[in-house]
Amino acid sequence: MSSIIEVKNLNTILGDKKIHENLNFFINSGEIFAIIGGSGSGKTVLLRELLGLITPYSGTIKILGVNAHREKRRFKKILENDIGVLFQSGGLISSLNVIQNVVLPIKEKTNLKIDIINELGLLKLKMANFPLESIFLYPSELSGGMVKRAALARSLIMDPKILFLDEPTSGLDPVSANLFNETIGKLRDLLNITIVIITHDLSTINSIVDRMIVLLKGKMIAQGRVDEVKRTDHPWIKQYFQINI
Amino acid sequence: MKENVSNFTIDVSYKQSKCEIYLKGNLVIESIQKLFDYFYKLKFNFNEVCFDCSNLSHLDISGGFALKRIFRELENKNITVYIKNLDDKYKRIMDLAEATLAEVNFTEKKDKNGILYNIGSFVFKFKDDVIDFLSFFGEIVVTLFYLIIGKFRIRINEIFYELENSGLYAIPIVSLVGLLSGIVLSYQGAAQLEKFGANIFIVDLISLSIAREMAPLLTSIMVAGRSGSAYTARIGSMMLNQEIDSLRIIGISPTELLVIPKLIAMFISLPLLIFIADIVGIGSGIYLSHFLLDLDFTTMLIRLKTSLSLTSFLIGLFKGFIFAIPIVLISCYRGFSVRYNSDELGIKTTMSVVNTIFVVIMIDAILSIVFQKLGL
Repeated sequence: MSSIIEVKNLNTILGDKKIHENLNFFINSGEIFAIIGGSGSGKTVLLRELLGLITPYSGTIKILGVNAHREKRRFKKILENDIGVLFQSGGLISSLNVIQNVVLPIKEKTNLKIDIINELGLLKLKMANFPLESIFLYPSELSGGMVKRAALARSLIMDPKILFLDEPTSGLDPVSANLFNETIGKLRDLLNITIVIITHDLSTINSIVDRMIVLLKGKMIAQGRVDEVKRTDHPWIKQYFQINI
Repeated sequence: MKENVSNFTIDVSYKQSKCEIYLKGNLVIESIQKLFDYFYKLKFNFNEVCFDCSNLSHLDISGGFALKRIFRELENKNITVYIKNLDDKYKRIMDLAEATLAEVNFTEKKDKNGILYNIGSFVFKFKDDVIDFLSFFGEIVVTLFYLIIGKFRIRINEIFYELENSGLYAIPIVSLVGLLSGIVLSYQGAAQLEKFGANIFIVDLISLSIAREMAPLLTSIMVAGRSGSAYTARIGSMMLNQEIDSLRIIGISPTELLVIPKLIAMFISLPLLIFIADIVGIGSGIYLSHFLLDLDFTTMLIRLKTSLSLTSFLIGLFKGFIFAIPIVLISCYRGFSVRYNSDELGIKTTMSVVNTIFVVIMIDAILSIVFQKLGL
């Protein structure tokens, strides 16, 4: 296994507020990596930095060997072809129905025939466990779980090497959340993609996550395999795993 | 992306009725177009195909899907398909693709309705719209009634906020419109009146048309476009964020908080804006006439005193008072009717501006007839 994402000495300052202090971690190819932390600990900012949307104050972020903030043009290509993102609220475009939303990236980037595109979209929707009878509904007509699954299908459509999921199970009932976790686990096994999850959900961490980091007030307080992190002697981590049993 | 495409190559060799296809490189989403292009160029003069995948370096889901789809088309042509040297991990991908293909049946249902259906649904929608608007109007009347008997308080802060936004900040654009209408009237009027030597009547022309028609109408249209659309967008986005629902639950009447202050503010600000447009329009018109027709200011001002009666002037301001009602009510009603998504917000904002301007012009036409009959 080789590391596919590398973060070194990352410092972030937004306005006059220090968001991250000296973050160092790496993510291996083919693993499910979780970023957890309290509210306001800078998880979402970290995700946006990994996607090149915010520039850090200092430090480097390398994805597939490309510096996300120095080599902008090469990184843009990686972003388009190798990275899929599931945003917290789905980010489905409200004027397009589910299948149109899902196939939007292929329609833009390839000149395949429309029936092939649609079938590819259905394939991805099925992989994301989306009920296929609802593909002509519009995002406003979908339930929370269906929105997440449709968004997952869209993030998978270009067969990414890395998948970023921002709180994929938030707002889902435990049954749907477990189903979602199962789907993600299966995807990893089948496609060998690297998955980075920002989450609060302990069921996700216990069921599918390989390694994780814990952020607290901008500092990384633990890093490693899930069982290692659980054994870390830190009051916040202890409380986190206790409350969430 | 380019590397992936050029990386993928296809070689074909024929042995009598058998065709061997060698796939090499990355068969991924970017390169499946190449596969399909190649496939459709083949002449199907064979009855056995063998796909050799020994040099395939990467196959993703889309690639697996493309292969399966081609297999299916070949089988439909009664051609036997073999696949050899496929990596085990890719076999699972192919299986998944096959399982999905079996289930997938992409047929989009399209509503094809006749013209009668469309007319009927338009009429019914219009009926619902009218009923909704009437019930909204009723709610406003009831709220106003409660306000008068003192059950609701008058929200001074909101009123001043609206006065500032839809009144004070509209002064520049309204004055500009007044100035421009003064220019138009003086130039157009001067050219015509000079022919008759009726130079002094330029004052009548400018003062009456601006005070009675131009200023009220143009100001109202400007305000409808400026503030009306803002009202719809603001209330509409509050609907989408469930803010209106939460106001109802807290026990604050949304009409009392959001509509009544706007209405009161508009009652005050629209006549004042029309007054400003009057002053600027008549002033600029008379100033220009001085140069165009060589009239001196004293003569024109004396003429203005006799030509523009107080009634005509007040009719202009009264129109503003009347126009304030459709501007606020229609734009707020459209805001409250926003549902579901941001698309709707755009549609409803457009409708709000179009409806408001239409209704304002219609009321203006009715008022013209009414004032004519009343002899004002």
